[in-house]
Amino acid sequence: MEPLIRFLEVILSGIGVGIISSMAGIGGGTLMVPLMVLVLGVDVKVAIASSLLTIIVTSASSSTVYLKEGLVNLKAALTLEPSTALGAIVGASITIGLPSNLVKRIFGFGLIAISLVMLARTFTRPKEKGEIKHWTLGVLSSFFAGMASGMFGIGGGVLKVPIMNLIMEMPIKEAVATSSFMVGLTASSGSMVYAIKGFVDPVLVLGFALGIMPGATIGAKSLKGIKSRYIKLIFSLVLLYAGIKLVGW
Amino acid sequence: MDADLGNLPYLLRWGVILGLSVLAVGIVIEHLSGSPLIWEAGLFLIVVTPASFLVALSYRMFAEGEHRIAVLSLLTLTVVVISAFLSLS
Repeated sequence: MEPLIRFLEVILSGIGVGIISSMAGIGGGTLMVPLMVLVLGVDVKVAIASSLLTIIVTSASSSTVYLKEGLVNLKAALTLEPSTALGAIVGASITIGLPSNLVKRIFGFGLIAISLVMLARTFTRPKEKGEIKHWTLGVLSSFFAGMASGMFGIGGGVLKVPIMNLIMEMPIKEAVATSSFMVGLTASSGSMVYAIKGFVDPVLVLGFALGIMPGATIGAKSLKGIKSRYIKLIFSLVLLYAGIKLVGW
Repeated sequence: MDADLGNLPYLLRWGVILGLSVLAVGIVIEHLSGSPLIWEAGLFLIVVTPASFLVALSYRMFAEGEHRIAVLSLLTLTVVVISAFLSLS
């Protein structure tokens, strides 16, 4: 009976992640890992590994739609992805080599940085039109987005979208769709490292994947009438709090 | 949009659905028999789905004369495969 209750707990957490992440317009990774560690009591490395596997599932689902609609810029995605994937492998290898307690603290600092990026994005006007520029800078920055993904078990969309939109001047809609497609590839590279070392919990992957999908639909429907800027602001502050708690301040 | 992908994007969706299904069956089997083999196969299917998409994409792009995207796709795939080998070492 206990495994079943645990599985239901994970599905419910996944529904929560799906609702919040679709309302805030971000991927679920930034929320999944703190939730697994702080609420479900999972080891941080297992949480990161399982989060990456779940991200492959959610990214595949959304990028199928984006690819069909022709919103993904394949040239940009595949130019940026090799350095991003390499970064993910480096990030994952760093995390595996460190003790869990230190990883938890580093993840906390990473979460604080991500929440600050999100806060800044809340007040930044996205670029709607433009010709893609600064490819070299984009490729170099993507390496670090990949590294964050591999280290922290996030998709890295929170960094990829600003890289493509603000640095490379890709229109925001295209940047979101392209990032969504890239996130699955990056997570696949990072998760390979963790999966081979045996850090993945299959129940977490299945439960979160099954929960996030309906959760995202509920979140998208509840969004009508609520200003997404406020949700992003609240969400950034929640992440900031989770980051501080993980660091242990 | 760089090229017409036809039904290729569905490979991503169906790949992960297949992986999740095998994972679910595998978790039950592990509870009954103690063998993790099936859920490990499910995880493997999920992890290789994006790479399989890249293989299919490069094949289609070469066939359609979109050589740039095909080469970029193979380059990304190479990095992913190298990552697998590095993880094994």
